[in-house]
Amino acid sequence: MKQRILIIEDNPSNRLLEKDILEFHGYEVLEAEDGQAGIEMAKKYKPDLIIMDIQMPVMDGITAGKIILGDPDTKDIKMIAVTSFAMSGDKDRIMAAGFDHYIAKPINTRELPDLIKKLLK
Amino acid sequence: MDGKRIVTKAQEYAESIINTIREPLIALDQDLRVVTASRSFYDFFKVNPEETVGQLIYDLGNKQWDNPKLRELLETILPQKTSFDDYEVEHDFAAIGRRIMLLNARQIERGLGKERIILLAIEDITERREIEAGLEKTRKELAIIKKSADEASEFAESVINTVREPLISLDQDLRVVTVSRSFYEFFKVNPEETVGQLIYDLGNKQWDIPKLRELLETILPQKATFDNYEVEHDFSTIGRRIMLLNARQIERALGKERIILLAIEDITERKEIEAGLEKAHDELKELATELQRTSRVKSEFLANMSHELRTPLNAIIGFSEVLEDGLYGCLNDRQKNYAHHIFNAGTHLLSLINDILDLSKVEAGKMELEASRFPIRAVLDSSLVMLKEKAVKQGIALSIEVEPDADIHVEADERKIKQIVFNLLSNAVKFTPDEGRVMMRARMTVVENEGEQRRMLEVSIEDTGIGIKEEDLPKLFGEFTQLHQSVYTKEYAGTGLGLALTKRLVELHHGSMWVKSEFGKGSRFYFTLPVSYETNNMVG
Repeated sequence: MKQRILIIEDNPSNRLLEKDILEFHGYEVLEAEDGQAGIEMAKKYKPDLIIMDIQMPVMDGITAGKIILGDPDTKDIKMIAVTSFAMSGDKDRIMAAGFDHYIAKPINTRELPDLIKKLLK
Repeated sequence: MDGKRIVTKAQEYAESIINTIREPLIALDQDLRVVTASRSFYDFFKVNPEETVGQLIYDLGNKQWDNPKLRELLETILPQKTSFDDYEVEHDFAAIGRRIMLLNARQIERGLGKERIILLAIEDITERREIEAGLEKTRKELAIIKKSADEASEFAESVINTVREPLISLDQDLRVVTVSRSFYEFFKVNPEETVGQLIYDLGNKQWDIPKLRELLETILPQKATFDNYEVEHDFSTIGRRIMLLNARQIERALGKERIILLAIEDITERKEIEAGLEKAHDELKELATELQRTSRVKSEFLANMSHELRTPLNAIIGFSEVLEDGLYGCLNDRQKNYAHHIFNAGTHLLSLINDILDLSKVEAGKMELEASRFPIRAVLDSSLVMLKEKAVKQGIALSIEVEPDADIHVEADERKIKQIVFNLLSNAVKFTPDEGRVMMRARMTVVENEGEQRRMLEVSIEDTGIGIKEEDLPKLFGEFTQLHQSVYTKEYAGTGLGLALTKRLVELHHGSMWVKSEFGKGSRFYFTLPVSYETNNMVG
């Protein structure tokens, strides 16, 4: 069975980019446009891994990440944060929220599949 | 009673009188020999009857009575006048010292006989004279005191008239005694309507100030002095004034009469200045708040910009990479080349954004160093490896030389040190023509800073590039400075932020950065790093 990855990202181009790369590497990809929708998707489809954008409207990625990791149904999902490293302290806040990893934009399309493979093995 | 007895009785009586009176008294016969002397005479002149009675007066007490003035009195004046009063004689007696005496003499006929005797009463006025002299002295001193008191009061008045501060003196009934010139000038009143007036009545009763009444009638009688009593009053002549009143209740010179000195300091303008200062201070505070707000807005703007720019860049760089990699079908070579150009342009744009953000952070003091301990050699090597391919392509010899004592661990922000080294090394490669040479060196050096010697790591990167003109050197580390517009040719494109940022990052580590260059021959960039920037921080 294919491993399932949920991309929570508000920018359609980036969502498409990540989806195409991950599908190319053999994953089943689900998409959500904001944190709130992402939480519902996570609960419903129980993905193996979530790629979460941090700066998003409606609900930011750190808040959404905390909710997902605080829910017994979804707490074991691997979480990667994608950040623009803009605000100092972002990194600390991300790691404190319980994410497994963080990557800076722009994502490296060659390194991302390797990272996911490592986290899901 | 027979005549003789009567005479004897009278004589005894006379002698008892003689002996009772306190004044020394002596009786002489016509030859000026002593007939009788009173007890007080013996006591006073410290002589005894044996060596006195029957003696010539001048011979008494070892001839100490041989006084020219006494001779004059007894031999010249008395035979003519038969009596003499208050004849003053001053004489220095061997036994009793210098004495001033008043001599009173009477030439009388004694009893029944025709024999004449001289009665000489001696009044010692030495002490009286001393007292008189003392009195005189005292009188003179008093005169001097009075003179100086007058002078003092004159002096006081001239002081009063000299001080700029309006000054007024009042008697116990609060009537004006003296007024300084400055008082008249300041309050626009004249002496005629002031002196002798009750203070409250001055200048059409405009001095009837409740706080002044309180000061003069309640506070001063209890405290005798009062400083800096602030009174604000609207005068009809000079408008609203804020004054500091200083009052002293003093006793005046010789008399017991008390007066009140009242000094008036007009602080209206000072208060205005203070108010102005306070206003300026408030405005400054507002400005500071505004600046803080602006700075926060700027930070937020930069954070947003970073996000907004990175998001599309993420797509540009990512998709061009995916295209180039041919994930969903291969491109032809030309298309692949285009994708590569898009990728390079995107990456360049990204580095520009990163430099701008980093520089803004450094300038805002928000660049934080994440210190760790790492071997400097590893950082130098990794930068070298990253540029090796490019150098090889251009036929540039890239080499590294680390002196043994410089092969150490440093405490610094590793990512930023990498940024510094990579930036300098890529610049060197960029500005060095084909077949040139780039050499990186590391050694330990001693830097003297404010009289303190400090061991530091020195890294230098030398190239055989185009070099920098001497006049351009000062501009080199400025922001957005690219020197190669015309002289340095267009092929060396850069952001113009690299060196400025690199220098700031070195300084953030408490190191310094400089360059030596010869135009047309090459450059050598240096930077130093403390072995541990934390301890260095503590020293600084």
